[in-house]
Amino acid sequence: MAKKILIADDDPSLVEVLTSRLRQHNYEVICAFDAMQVMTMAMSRRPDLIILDIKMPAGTGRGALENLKNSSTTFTIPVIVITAYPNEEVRGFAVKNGVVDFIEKPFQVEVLLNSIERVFRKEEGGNI
Amino acid sequence: MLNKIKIIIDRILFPRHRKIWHIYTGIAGLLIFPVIFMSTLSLYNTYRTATKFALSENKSEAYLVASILKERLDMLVEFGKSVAQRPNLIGPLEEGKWDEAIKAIASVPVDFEYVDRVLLVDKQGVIRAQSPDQPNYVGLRRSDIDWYRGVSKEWKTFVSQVYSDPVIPERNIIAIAVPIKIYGLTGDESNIYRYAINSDKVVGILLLHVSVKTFADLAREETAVDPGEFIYIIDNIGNLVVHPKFQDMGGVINYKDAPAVQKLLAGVRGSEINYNPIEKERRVVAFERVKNYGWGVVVVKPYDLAFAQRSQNLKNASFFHLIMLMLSVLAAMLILFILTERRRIDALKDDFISTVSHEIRNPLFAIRESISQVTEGIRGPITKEQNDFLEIALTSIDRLSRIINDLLDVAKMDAGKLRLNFKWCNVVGIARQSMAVFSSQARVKGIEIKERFPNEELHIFIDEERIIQVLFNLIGNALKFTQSGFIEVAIIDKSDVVECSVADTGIGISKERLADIFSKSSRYTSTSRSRGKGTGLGLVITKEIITMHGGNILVESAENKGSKVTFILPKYSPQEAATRFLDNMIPSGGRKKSLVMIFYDIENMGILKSKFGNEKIISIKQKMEKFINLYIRRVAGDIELTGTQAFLVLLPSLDTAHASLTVNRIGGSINEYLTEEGLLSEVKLNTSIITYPQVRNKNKDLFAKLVNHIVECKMR
Repeated sequence: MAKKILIADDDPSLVEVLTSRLRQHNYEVICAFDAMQVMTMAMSRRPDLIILDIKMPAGTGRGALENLKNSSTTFTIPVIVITAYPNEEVRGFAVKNGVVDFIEKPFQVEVLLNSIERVFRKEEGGNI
Repeated sequence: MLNKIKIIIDRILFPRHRKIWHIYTGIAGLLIFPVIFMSTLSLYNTYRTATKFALSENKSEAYLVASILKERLDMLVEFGKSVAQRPNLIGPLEEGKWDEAIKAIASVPVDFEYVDRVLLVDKQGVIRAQSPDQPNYVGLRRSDIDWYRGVSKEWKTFVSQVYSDPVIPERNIIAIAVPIKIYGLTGDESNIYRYAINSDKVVGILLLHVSVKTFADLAREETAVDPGEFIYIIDNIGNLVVHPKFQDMGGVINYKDAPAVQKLLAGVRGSEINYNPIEKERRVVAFERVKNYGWGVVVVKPYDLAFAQRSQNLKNASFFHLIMLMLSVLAAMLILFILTERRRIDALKDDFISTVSHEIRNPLFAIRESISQVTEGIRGPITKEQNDFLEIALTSIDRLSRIINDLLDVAKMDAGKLRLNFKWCNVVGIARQSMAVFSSQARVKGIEIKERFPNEELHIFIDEERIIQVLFNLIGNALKFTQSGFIEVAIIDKSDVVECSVADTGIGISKERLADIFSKSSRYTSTSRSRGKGTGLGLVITKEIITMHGGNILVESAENKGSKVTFILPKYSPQEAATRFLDNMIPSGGRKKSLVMIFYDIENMGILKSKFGNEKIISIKQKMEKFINLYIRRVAGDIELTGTQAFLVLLPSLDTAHASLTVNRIGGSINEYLTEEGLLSEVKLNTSIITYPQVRNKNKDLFAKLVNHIVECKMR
């Protein structure tokens, strides 16, 4: 069964091209465009992985990440953070909230694909 | 020149990525402190001068009164002497006719208002005659009284202390005792004015009783006295001659306990501030001796009165200095405001550049990704022509990305976050490689690119990518501004440095522009020369890169003849290079001042090689390297160094806690792989998290191993 990935970014074109790429690699992709949607989608559709964009230090992405990790139904879902602001503060915040990976924009699509692949390999019984 | 000064001031006031509050506070202090200092000094001076002035004013008043008093006393003495020399007094006295003698001087108390009474005393101190005759003293022996002792000592005129009249005690008098002498001619008989005094020929004593009240009134009339101020006079043993507060009391008051009087009696004169415990007020007391008589004058002024002028002066001065101080504080605040404001604007601008650049990357990524998905045929087949057009779009996007990277480089530079990835590289090879990129472009323009390189390879410790960037910038610029002639790229191997230069025969650079060609101020300005394809930031970045290499860059140019840009790179020993490499990796800015590294060491490399064979081990190592690479290559600044038996991962943006997370992640993947291969128990992998520069002192063995590893990796 295809893995289900939730892409959360407020830039629709970026979500569009990523969706297309991931579908090409046989993943099932669902999209969210704001923090609220991320929560509802994560709870109702139970994705296997969330790719979350964290923007400016005060942006909504951080709230979304905290909500995901504080909710009993969603805290087990692995989260990969992508951000255009890879400063130490943001990175510290992400690591503190238990994300599985932290990717700086702009990134090579292959890096994201690798990261995703690794997450699923681990879930299938790889040790960490 | 002006520009250079401006740049230097700029560097001091706006240093990159450094806390600058101490500089600004220092500037404010430099402005305010001297004003405070000068004000305090000047106020103190004003205070001192005014105090001195007030005291000396009092002193001179006392001096004036003392002088007047002396004059009066002198006058009295002279008068006494003149009376004592009257022939009609001396004549009868020679014959012992006291009553007759007194008649000769009986008019004196009538004619002179301050002389109460005249008396004639014989040499033994017995009063023999007087006028007026009431109260009667005739017959009294006065040989123990001070004036008799005074006058009989050397038979000289003597002014007595104050005493009360023995007959009328409420009257205070002084007595002036004048010896009455018979003068005989001696020596030059022709000059009758030359007398010789013979004390043996004293025939009696003339005594003048002078009323102190009369006398004092005379003295006081001569001096103008301020309200609240008073003057008193004492005689040679401290008895009050006159004191305005004890004027009509009668009897002699001894005043020698007053501090001023004590000083006077000790022979001191001066002016001081006293506290009167009875009237509970401070006052300024000036005291002056009356010469020759041993008397003293004391001028007493209330403190406030004496220092009224001083208070006024101080008030005026304080007001002036307060205004000065306020002005300087204002000036300091203004300067601080301007400085911080400029810094804020600078920060805002850098922030703006960084934000915009990052925001542009998002859509840029989307555009590039969509186009490549189309060209890859994921979206269905496309024609060759369509593909060609999309390729043009991709090239343009790549150029746009480069411009954004330039902007970000500058922003990073300003924030001190530009980091170099040092490696041992063949600089000649790098130069050839860079030149090759421009060869077709040069051929089209008809310009030859010459080279002047050493024959062998030249390995130095540099950031390959950054040096290529420098060469691209320089050769690209040369090509852009040269229409005919040639471009020469040269590398000269000197003993401790390598000198690289790019020379052209182009339009050259004007003198004004040459002065600030690398400076921040010329960065965003657009001149006819820089209005080309680039951002005009190339040279600024170039300069920074060379500086970060510990090198130096200079430009020579003659307008319309050509330019030559030379940069000099230092050569380092391997150990120096390794330390420099680590130093360069230490994060700057922020609180963290150490570099976190993860060091993977395959301890039993030798055994593994003999057991499984070289090829197998190399492939295992490569696979492990790939895992490490996969994890860390996505964050700027993270670097991985692979040696023959070890891996080193440098994580400048992480702290130790987060580093251990990374260790777990990478370790997980490696273990997973080794398990798959069935080698988990065979490979002895030693993992340590290292912080630099702390490791240098804490664990010398590990540090040496680390340096060797870096040398090995970077030398290859």
